[in-house]
Amino acid sequence: MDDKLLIEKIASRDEAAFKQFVEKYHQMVINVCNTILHNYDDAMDVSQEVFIKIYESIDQFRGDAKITTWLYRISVNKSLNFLRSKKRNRWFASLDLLFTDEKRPIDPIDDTPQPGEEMEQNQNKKILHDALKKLPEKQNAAIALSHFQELSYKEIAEIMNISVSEVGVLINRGKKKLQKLIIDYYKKN
Amino acid sequence: MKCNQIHKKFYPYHLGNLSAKEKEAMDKHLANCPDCMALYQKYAQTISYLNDKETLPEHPFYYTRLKQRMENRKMAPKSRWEHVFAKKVLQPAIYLGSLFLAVYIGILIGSGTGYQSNLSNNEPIDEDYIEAYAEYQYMNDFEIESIENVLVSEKEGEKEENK
Repeated sequence: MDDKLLIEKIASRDEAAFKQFVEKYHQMVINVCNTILHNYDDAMDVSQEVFIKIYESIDQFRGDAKITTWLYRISVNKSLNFLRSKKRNRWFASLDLLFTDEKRPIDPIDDTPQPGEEMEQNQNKKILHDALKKLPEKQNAAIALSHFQELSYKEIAEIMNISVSEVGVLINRGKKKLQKLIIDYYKKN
Repeated sequence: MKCNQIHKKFYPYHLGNLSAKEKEAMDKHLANCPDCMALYQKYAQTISYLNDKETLPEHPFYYTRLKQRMENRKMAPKSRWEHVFAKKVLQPAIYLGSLFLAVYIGILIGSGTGYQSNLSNNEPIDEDYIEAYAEYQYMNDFEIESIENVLVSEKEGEKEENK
């Protein structure tokens, strides 16, 4: 079944069509969310919100854009909103710690020992993802879509609702900052 | 070039975006500076994962979980609003309230307690009791007249009565 027909059926609340749609695109949506959030559980959570949003607002979809562009846009927006709310919650969590005696870490670090090369690879990936997390949201999203999702600047511009030159600026600034963050990390450690 | 200047050019150097002259200077510096070389190798290794397209596997029960979530939301729309209210209004209000209370208590402790501040007031003190006490002092016969005199005078009184 092609996407246009699928969307028409979802608009008329056809459960089977929605199931088919979810099974076709859920992997893509989880991957987009994961590249921005850098956390699998959060990506699963946000991706479900994306499909709920799609089910609730399928009538608003204009047929002139590609369904994947729409999916990307909702995924990026939901992920950025999630990051914002997480930042807020982290602030409140730090206040929580002031009122409790127990000192517990907000994000527990996985210290499980791993074999040599794999451990080094994972450590390098973690350093990169931690640095990406520290970037401003939009720079993080633009770099994620450009590198991990291999989208063109034009596609990213359409998804993020900005101009192509702005995408270039975001990615360029993001990479400069990323370079600084990684070098600073290695200098400290 | 100084080490810090070299560090700033790691990314274009890694991509091969430097001019021939700059590249030559970088190569020369890296060959003579083991610290910069080690740092560059670590950086290059880490940044290479930026092009590593990591694809997560399909989730077998994804739709079932999604449907469950949608059902839960349908079943309890009110509690969801309550949750949002509690999270976005009530929680910040409580934190703000406790913050103000903590600041207020801090100010109170800093400037002394209410009891102490009453004592330190410079209001005129009621001194009437001093005069009252002075009058009362003269009413105490024992202080004006010794007990022996009283006994003597009482004995003299008895003698006069007997006469």
